[in-house]
This record gives sequence, structure tokens and C-alpha cells, in this order.
Amino acid sequence: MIWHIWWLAIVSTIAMLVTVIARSYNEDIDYYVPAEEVAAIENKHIQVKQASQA
Amino acid sequence: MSSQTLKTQHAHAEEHEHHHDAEGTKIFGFWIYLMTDCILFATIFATYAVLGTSFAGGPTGKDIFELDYVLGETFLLLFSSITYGMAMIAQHNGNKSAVLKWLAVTFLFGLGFIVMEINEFQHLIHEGYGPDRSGFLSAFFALVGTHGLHVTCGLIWMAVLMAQISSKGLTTTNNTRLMCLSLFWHFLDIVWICVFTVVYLMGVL
Repeated sequence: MIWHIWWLAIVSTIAMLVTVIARSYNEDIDYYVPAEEVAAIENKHIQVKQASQA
Repeated sequence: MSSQTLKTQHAHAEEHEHHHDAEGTKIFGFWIYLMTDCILFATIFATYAVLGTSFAGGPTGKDIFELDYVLGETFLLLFSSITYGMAMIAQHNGNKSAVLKWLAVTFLFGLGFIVMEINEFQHLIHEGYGPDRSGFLSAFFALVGTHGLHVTCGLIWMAVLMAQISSKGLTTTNNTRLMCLSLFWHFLDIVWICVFTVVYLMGVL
């Protein structure tokens, strides 16, 4: 603590704790992209690319 | 067709949770964290080994350590590891109320340890033996204080996890967290055994 800003250190520590705890209540952290959807998007992308080249 | 897609998606979602083994990855990641924590403690232990005899005319370990008191602290922490083990057995049996009960017992043991440690620190500082007195006391407060800070974090984690288990039950997420906290708690117990031996026992010898 070089500058002895204790109020900032205390507020920051509490903010860190609160953030981590609040984050731990969120369980919706990932999602699944089915292979068909990836294939559809990629195929569409290739078609658009080929059409622009032709 | 849309209902077909939904069904496949749902099947995939379930498959996703079980096949990708996110729990195993999390526990492995936690092991890596514990190893880095090991490096931290090894560094502070090395510092203590170097500074442990730099008394600067101040008190030595023999003058300030009360072995009976510290033995009491040690037993509180060791018993808290046993009761955490009971919580893990209850989790294995899917018994939510027993998990919460054993976690509460573990929490109280851990809290007792921390209260005793704060009391010891306060007593030392009051006597004029704070970390600014000598190299020995700086290293002592750094080592024992870092361990105490870890136990305090473990207690906060345990309190939050108890709230989450009581509201959401023994879900996959909660079980993984219970496993990680178990590793953390036993790890801190092992570190304390080293602290007790190196700092207190060898200090009084």
C-alpha cells in the first residue's frame, strides 16, 4: 500500500467478492450449436462466395 | 420438422453436458491452481527459513509461542477436514440435508480456527511483537497470515456454497464446486501441518 488509499482498497476488495459471488449464481454460461446449423451457415457462406466469384 | 429439430437440439444439449466432461476439466483446472498455490507457500516458507532466526534483539519463537493454544487451533482445523469428508460422503449418497449439516459443522470448526488465530495475532501486536518488530516476525506474520487468509476465503466460499446447495440442491455444478472446495480445504490442512511443524514446533525446540 504505497499511497495508503485504504478506502479504495477496501471498496475494491468488497466489489471483487460481490462480483465473483454474483457470477457464481449464473449457471447459463454456455450454449450448444448443432452440427446441422454450422453446416447450413457454412454452406450458405460458400454459395454466396461462389456466386460472387462467378 | 421444427419439432424434430428441437428434439435433436435437446438431445444434443444433454449429450453436451455429459460427454464433454466439463466437470473433469474444472477439477483438473483447480488442481493446477492448487499447484500454483503450492509455489506461493513454498516461496513464503523459503522466506521464513531465511528470516526465521533474524530476531533483531526481539523475541524468539520460544518466547512468544504458546504450543497448547496452537495445538488447539491445529485440532480444530484437522477435525474440520474430517467433517468435510463426512459432507463428501453425504454428497455421494445424495443426502442434501446431511451435506448441509456437515458443511455447517466444518464451517464452525474453520471459524473457530480463524478466531483463535486473530486472537493470537492481536495478542502479539498488543505486546509490541507486530510484523515490524523483526525479520522473524515479518516472515511469521506473512506465512501464518497468508494461510489464515486462505482459510477465510474458504469459509466465504463454504457459506456461499451452502446457500446455493440449499436453494438449488445437489446439482452437477454444486457437486463440482463441493469437490473443488474439498480439495482446497484438505490442501490448506496439509499446509497448516507444515506451518505447525516448521514454525511452532521447531521454533519452540
